[in-house]
Amino acid sequence: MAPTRKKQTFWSEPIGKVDLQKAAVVPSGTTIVDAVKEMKYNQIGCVLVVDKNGKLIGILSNGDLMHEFVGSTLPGDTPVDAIMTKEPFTGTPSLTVKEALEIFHTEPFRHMPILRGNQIQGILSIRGLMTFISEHLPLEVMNLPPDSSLIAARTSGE
Amino acid sequence: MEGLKEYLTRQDFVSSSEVRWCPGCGDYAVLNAVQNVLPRLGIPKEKYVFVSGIGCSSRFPYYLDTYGFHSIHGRAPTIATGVKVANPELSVWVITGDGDGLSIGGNHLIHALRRNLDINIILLNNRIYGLTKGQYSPTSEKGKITKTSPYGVIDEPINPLRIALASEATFVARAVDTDPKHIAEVLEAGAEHKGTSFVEILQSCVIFNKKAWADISDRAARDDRLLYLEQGKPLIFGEKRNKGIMFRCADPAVVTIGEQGITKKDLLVHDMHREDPVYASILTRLDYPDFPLPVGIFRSVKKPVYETELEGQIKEVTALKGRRNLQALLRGSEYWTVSGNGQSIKRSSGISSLANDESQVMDEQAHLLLSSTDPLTASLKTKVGKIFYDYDYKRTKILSPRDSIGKAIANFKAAHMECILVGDEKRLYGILSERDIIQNVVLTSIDRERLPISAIMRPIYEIMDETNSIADVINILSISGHRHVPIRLKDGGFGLVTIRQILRFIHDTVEQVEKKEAETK
Repeated sequence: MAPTRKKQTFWSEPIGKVDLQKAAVVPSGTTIVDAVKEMKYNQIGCVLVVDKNGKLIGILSNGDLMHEFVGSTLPGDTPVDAIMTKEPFTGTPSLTVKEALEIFHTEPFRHMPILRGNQIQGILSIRGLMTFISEHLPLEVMNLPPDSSLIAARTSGE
Repeated sequence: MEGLKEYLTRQDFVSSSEVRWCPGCGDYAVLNAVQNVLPRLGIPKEKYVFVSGIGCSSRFPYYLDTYGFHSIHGRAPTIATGVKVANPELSVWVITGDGDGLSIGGNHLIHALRRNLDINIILLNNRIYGLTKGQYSPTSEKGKITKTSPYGVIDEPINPLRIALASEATFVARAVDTDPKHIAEVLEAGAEHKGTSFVEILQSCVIFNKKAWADISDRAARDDRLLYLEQGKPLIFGEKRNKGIMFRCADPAVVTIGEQGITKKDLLVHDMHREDPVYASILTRLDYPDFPLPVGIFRSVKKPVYETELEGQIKEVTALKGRRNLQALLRGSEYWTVSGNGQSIKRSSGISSLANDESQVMDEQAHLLLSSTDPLTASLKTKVGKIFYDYDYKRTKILSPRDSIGKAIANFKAAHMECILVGDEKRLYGILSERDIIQNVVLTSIDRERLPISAIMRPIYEIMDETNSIADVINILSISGHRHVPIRLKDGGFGLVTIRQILRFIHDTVEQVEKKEAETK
């Protein structure tokens, strides 16, 4: 049964095939509070910051907020530009799953903007990447009984 | 057999039982038509079997001088199946009604139809439960007032022909009780069809549903309101034979020949032998008053007959394995011993020793599924405890639900954690992520030094064990939508496994796989 399925090659698939998350985007100069509202509204753990021309200039994540804003003296109406990560790490749709794994292996962030030219295609998150991988392994990962001790070794029990 | 046609007559099929239907009941017309058709088929009298369920029409077997079985409600198709399979030489007929066949025995009818035994099913449709004195049936029209629908039926009625087509019936026809000659034609064609013939006969119940089909079946109105389907001929109807059916943009439409330049050639030509049931299905949609109601043979196609297939299979397997003995099977060596309140189940050694045994084949299949040789999928069976310890386990922290949010923030900042567990050594109460902190601290003005974590933590979806596989954890992460799963540690306490740890593990495994592949090349 195995030969027809390409089990071993999912990691050479392009990121373009992964369901990317819709990005939350705010213009440069937006206040930190408004940026967090935007994140909450979009149910995503980061927000992208763009300039007048729509070009990506920064990213603000929950991690940035935790370390740069919470507990600091900055007021909530400070522009996001003050604490965002400038010139963030980005990928293109042609990036492979293997390369993405590599990036998340070495870099600390959980969200990576995917760009086609200057256009924002969406966000590749570690969750999206894991879901994509698990979809390639329906037998081994997706369709499991809730308790793995319930998997019978023989069809007739025993 | 042909010679039988010479000497069997209608009288040979009339039983000595007194026919007890209400005067004026359509069942009489159907019985007469059946008694007229049987002698024409060239089948010896003793080969006929009539099986019925329950209902007025199900009294049929008494009135026919043939073998018969007045059986259980709705189960006539089932008993007929058994009769036909046991003795394929018999000419088996099922008599049922709209209640017996479509409600009580709806399921049995469907499966008899899809199996395509060479039997004949006649469904008498009077749109009411007559025998039980006037309750609404599955074919009763909407709004009908009956004893069980005093304010009108609100159920959508079933169209028996559409049920038959959806069940892949190979012969589907309809006739009306007021036209016995046509009934006989249709029944004869059905009897000669190799496979299950399904004939719906529209009839009235003189007592409880006198006008069931009055609109279309009255002799005076019939020509304008019925469409007699004739193989290879255009769909024409009307007293003057000047109306017809054609397709307009894939929908059927009534047209008048001679108007708007329409000739007979523009009309749809009836072809009951179409393999595709869509055409027949479109015909079943035509209904009075928008259309004439079609009667005749909607569909007649050839498909393998069940009893022939079964007989062939039995012969084939018997040739291969010899004749099996049911008693020997029951008393044989294949058994299980259950003991200790079901704690231990042991199977007899006889089972696996059987050559070519089905259970052995299945076991091998299951074994194949469970023991993947692909290194990556095999690695997913690794215990999650391993990745917990191998990948950054130090980032797991447990705080008490009474600790302040401020304390949680200090922990997040100090250790670069994604998430904090809330509980103690014995019990987990919740989980707290960076997101929970940010959304509460930045967007609301809570007192972070006084408010406890329990106010903003989220409940735990599932706690897993160190011994669970990585695949189990990925499964839970996918279902829960969370980024972390708490695990119960062997030596007490709890740990946290994150998607990042899992991706790191997959990354390393992929690297190893590729390295090995490169080496073997």
